[in-house]
Amino acid sequence: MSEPILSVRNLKKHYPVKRGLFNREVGRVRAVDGISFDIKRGETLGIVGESGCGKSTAAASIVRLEDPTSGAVIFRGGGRTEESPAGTTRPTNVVEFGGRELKRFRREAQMIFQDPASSFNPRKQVGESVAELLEVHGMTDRKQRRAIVEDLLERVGLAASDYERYPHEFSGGQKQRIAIARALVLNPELVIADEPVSALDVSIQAEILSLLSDLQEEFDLSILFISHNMSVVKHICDRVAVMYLGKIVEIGPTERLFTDPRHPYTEALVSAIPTPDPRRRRRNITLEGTVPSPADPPSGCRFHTRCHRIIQPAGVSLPQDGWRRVMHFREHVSRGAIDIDGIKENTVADGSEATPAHLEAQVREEYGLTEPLPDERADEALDRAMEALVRGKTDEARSVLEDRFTTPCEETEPGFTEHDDDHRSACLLHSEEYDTRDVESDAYRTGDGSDTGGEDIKTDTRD
Amino acid sequence: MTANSTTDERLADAATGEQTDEPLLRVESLTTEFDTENGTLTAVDDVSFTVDPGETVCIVGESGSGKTVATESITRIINQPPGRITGEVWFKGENIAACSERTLREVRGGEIAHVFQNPQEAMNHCFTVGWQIVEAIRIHEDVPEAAARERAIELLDRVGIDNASARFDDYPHEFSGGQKQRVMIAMALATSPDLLIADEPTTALDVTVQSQILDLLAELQGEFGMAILFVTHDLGVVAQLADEVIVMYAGKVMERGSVYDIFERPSHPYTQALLGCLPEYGGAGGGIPGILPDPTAPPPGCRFADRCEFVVPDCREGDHPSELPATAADHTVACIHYGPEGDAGPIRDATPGSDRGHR
Repeated sequence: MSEPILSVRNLKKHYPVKRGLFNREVGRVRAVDGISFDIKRGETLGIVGESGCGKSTAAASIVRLEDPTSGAVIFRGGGRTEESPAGTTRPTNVVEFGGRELKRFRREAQMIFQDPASSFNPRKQVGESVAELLEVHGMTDRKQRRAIVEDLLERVGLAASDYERYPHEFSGGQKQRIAIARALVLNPELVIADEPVSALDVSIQAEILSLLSDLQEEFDLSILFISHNMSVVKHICDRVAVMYLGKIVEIGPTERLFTDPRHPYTEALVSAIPTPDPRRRRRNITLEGTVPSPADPPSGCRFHTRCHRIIQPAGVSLPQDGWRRVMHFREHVSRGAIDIDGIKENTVADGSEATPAHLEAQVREEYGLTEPLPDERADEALDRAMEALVRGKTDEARSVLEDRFTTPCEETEPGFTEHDDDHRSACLLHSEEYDTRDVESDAYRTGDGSDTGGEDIKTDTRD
Repeated sequence: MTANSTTDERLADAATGEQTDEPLLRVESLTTEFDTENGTLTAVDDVSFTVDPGETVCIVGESGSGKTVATESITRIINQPPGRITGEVWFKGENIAACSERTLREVRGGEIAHVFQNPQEAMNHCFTVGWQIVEAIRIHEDVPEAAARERAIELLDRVGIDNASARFDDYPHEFSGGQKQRVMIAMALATSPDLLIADEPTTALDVTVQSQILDLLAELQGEFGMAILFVTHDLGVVAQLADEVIVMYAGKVMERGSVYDIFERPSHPYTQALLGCLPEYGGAGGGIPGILPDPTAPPPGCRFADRCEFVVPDCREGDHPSELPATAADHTVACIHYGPEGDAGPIRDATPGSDRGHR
């Protein structure tokens, strides 16, 4: 395998949250919080994740549309090598590039954006919009510029005569073709495509994707492909990185990642793809809770607040879905999200004051905890916490719950485990200590290789 | 669409007890036009379909196919003018296309509820979500506020809002996108509708949230025994959800049939091309070349003719082809190749994904 064209190492982008008279920094939104990956020459690497996971910020930080907080982006295209040639001091770390170097870098790394409508100047002929890049980068011959652009317009499936038309005259798919022409006009080595087909209809999506892969071959491009659409990523990328709350949780060859996801989050994402086959309707793994705020990410594994495989501590043995519900309840109590007074006000059914028993029944109902837990000690702790909670002693409830129900997932931040060829995931379940329940062997298994399997693997349907 | 299709075992389970010959909803020759500066735009052109009780019908099409306008015309959410709706909409034996605005207002949001793509815009951000659900209940039913409140909390809990009784007093902006859509569903269910019209309810959501909402809809459908008319462009969602499928293109119905007919025996060249765009069906076909016809001046003959690989001169003549039987009695296709003089063999042979080994 040749050396990578782009290596990202521990890249971070934090946005300060400022408040008050002196604009003091009171917190940080950790949009991208230490990601590392390589893109090889001619390869397409996908980054997937839900909205807010930091995938677009990562792209913007790599091309320095945003200045990264820390980390390194080593670009080896455009004749750069890792070792600077003797006597010259040409840096390869994009993060440290000055103005001139940056301009040169941006000739070799281009972006395609999601919304082609807003990425063109409506008052400019599209041909000129594309030719502008040539001019900026020093091509002074007007005729030559036009010839290059006309040729390129044809290669992306438009006509040379489209040069003089304006953006509003084109459909969304055609505009995206022009955006691709613009990205290619400087003959780059790396293209970063941020949701390039998300705004388009399926038939147009297919056109643009096949155009991209044709051009990739023709121009020998490396592509960083950012998308939330798992099925698109599955079919265009060689390798895929899955991001959750600013971190990469799993990265590996596309085929491996989709058929054998090793991180519970990837597993849930893969299971959620609606398959266009009416005979394979399957039950999805349903994630609980909402994506936590990147300003205050959960400790340990960032996914533990929603994970369906959250690890039980020694001494607790509950069915996994019951355990998940208890942890969900615990988290809400800790966050102070359960407003007992509000519940009291809203549960008066017949005009009388709600009794604590009433309230407890209501809370248990809402958190799916009406059945006693099969583990006696756990059940006793939950009872005590409920009791304290409905009597307004939230602190006591919190300490009971936090004392009894703990999980290694919140204490230890998992490192990457290598599975096989280039496939890594960051989950404690793969560390030796917890590896007893091998992901491969249990009933949660889904993914493409599995049968239609009607088994109900839902934990809960709350978001 | 009849409910006793032999190919569809799920449909029989889904149908509720009250089965008569009359479907829950019967739309006849629905046409919706808009007067624009560039002339009259026909968004929906002579569309007919039925929805049986407890059934899920998906209308699938790309942007500009008229699928949203068709469903919004049912309860006349479309402003007239500039819109102009003609045709009949029979709901539970009554032609609601001809009834007064007052009667319609009782049906709309009562027996027929809507869920839209963007929950943000469908809610009033100045009122708490609880208040809005209570209002939805009390507009249609004369119940005391306390009872409406209790029901609203039950509904919020049912659609999966944690800690419902406390969140009752929260404002829409305090909910995430997926939760807002849950609240919208709670609001739609407040009056126990017989028909839920869901227009791309999951398109603005992340895939994990989308699957939660789809699961929720399926559960609630079983519980409430309602029919769902689901509008989407996402064939994956259609396959997961639908009993019956209507494929629309440029304001016309191109093909209709059970979900198995559409995915396993797609018969219209457009349906085939659309499926062929999916990565799962090969997807390398490179999309469908060409663009939608101009809705203000549709060409004669088949609307899809310009983009169709099976086009013959006859395709460009006369009216849009009428719907002809394809593979089963209730699987019809609007394509002249299926007529007495046509030969549909080459189209059938071109079925995408036929090598995927079904069954």
